Amino acid sequence: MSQERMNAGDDKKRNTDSVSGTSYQAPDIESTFNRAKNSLNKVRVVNGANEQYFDNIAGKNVGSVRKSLREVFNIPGDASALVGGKEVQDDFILEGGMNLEFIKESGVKGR
Amino acid sequence: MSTRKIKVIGAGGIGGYMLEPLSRYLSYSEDSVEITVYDGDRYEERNRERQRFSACENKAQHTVEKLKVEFPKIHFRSKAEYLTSDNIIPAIRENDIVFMCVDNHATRKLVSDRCQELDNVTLISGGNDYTDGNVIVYIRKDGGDVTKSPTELHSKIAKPTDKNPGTITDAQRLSCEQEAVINPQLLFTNLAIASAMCNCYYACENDKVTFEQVYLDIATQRMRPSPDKF
Repeated sequence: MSQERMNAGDDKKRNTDSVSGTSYQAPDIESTFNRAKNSLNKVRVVNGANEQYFDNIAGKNVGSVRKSLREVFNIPGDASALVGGKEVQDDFILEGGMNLEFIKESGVKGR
Repeated sequence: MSTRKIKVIGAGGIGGYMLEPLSRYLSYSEDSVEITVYDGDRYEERNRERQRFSACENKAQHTVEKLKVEFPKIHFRSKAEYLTSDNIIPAIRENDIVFMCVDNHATRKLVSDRCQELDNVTLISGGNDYTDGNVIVYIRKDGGDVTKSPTELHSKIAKPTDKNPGTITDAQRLSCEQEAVINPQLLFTNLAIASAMCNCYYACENDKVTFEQVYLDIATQRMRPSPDKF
């Protein structure tokens, strides 16, 4: 059985649908908007298995991201960079909501 | 009872590790299973740091002899040959499940192109660099592509710059062996790719393929299907 996380007092916040009997929690509009706003400022960076959303790289160029994530993301120095599926150079400035992918070629070895 | 026809191309770093759990899993299935292992290479002393063997014999034959004893229910065959344009057509046929565990893009292209000619086939192809690698799952059903082929996904497979070991001279093979010494492989990465190939087979068998390839990186401990969903 999977382990579900439930905070103390969660039951009190929940309402019960009188028709179906299922419980639900009323959405908090303000936090929903804040989450949406924050996600728009984030840049998704991908290289092979490595993928992460960063909220502090909008405004930086591709070259500096490549340099700062080279070790952590195992990015080859000559890997092509794509933003929104189109190849960009290292001086391309990233904006929030963009998707930066360093092209990971297929592994060669194995025998 | 149906017969599952499995073709394993390459019994070295990845194939050698993948075959034992795959055979164990299939040995307890209700279907009749045939596994054919292809490899033209021989084990050498320098392989010992990554591979298990007790004699410097042909990799396919040596591996199959061990597996036959452990899994008598499976019908094993070994082919001590590399796949080339001369033997690819009889080797890969309709309804085959192909596990490709080779070390060159030229063979990957050859097998990918052959699978593209078939109506129903599953190809699971693994490859690695030192600490990372990927597994491509290419499925064709009723004459159409369910997922993209290795040649569609990777331009370096579509236009390989390396050579198929079955088509090169002894001098060129020696050069490849020297290259292998310069660019070594890591046992743990071979093992991770072998495991990921088994996972992909399980996903195929249970209609849970929602990806075209899986990337993994043992240095950063990450694994990611790509695309996330199609």
